[in-house]
Amino acid sequence: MSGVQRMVGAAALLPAALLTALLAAPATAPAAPSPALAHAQGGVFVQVNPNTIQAGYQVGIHASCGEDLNPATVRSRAFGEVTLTPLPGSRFLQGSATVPSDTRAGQYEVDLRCANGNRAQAELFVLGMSQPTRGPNTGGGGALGGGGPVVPAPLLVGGVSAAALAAGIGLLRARRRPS
Amino acid sequence: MARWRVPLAIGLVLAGVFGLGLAVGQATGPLSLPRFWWSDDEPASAALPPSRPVRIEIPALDIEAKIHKVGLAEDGSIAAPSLRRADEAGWYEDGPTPGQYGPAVIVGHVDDRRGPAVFHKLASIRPGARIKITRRDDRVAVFRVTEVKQYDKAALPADEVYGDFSRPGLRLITCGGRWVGGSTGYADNVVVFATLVDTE
Repeated sequence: MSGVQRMVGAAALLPAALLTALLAAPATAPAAPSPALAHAQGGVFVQVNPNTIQAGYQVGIHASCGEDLNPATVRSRAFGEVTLTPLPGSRFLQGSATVPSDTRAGQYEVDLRCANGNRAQAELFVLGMSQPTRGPNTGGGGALGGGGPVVPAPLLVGGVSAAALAAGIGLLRARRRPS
Repeated sequence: MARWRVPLAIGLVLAGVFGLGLAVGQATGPLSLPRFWWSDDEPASAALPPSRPVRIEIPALDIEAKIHKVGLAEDGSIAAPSLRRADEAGWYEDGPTPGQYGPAVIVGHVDDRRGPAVFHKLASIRPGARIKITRRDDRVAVFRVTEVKQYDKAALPADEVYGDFSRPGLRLITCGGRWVGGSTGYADNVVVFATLVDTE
């Protein structure tokens, strides 16, 4: 019986899968089975938005327990336990969580537990990014704007003045000498 | 008289259904077939899983370079690539990888003592230009430039540069402005802001 059901299910999915494969770009084609898989599990899923976050920031959690519209809990070592509440007029549940700023960078499992016993998992990537207000030293030469190294203005003025002075004195002495 | 009533009714119904479909399509984003069939299922994400960047291409500036990892410098700023690798770009390894949610940071020298370096022409990039980042998993994240800004090197706006996790983003940083020499080099940083628009 269940074998027959599976075959019927597969037959029904086939045209859709073919159409998806035809419409999707080659690179994204391997990803196409995932919505079908989620469907096969009765639309039970949990999603963290964004699924990459700096420690100390808040994330949104979006989930569905299938036909079950009761609140559900989500657990993760990245933020502890939060309760998701149903979104009116849909099968979706929603909530949010703040990842404490001392959370270690890494990959964390996010676990949905529904009132009806359904479960789903998602991944959350936590970053421990430093956010320096001092910019990187990305200029080694001072050659920007063309030409060779730029000599700072005070040095340039000083150098030219000294050279002019020396030349002037030299000229004066040269004129005196013949007389 | 009643002859045109039925076709008119059918036409109105079809137009109504089409209009509703269009409105729902507009409200829920671009129409995708899986979402069309199974509207209650998990929405697809545009972001990529983590994988470190290995190559950057900016066709508009004729830039093509390798990318290696960089950490933090002693003064707390993001470390620039060593001057021996001034023709490569450096990806800040504590941040997201390009294609993940959040601002992936890539730094590069504008020049070194011998002359122009990898990001020499970066300040001349314009909004709309494409930046392609090839990752170790062979996926390519394509970003579109949204803004080009110049800040005093001692006062980058942290929230603007590092704080946006609402989308997969990219920040290219190099030096610019006045040459002051010493340990500072140039007085400013040029920051290019870009957003993920495509993956290959």
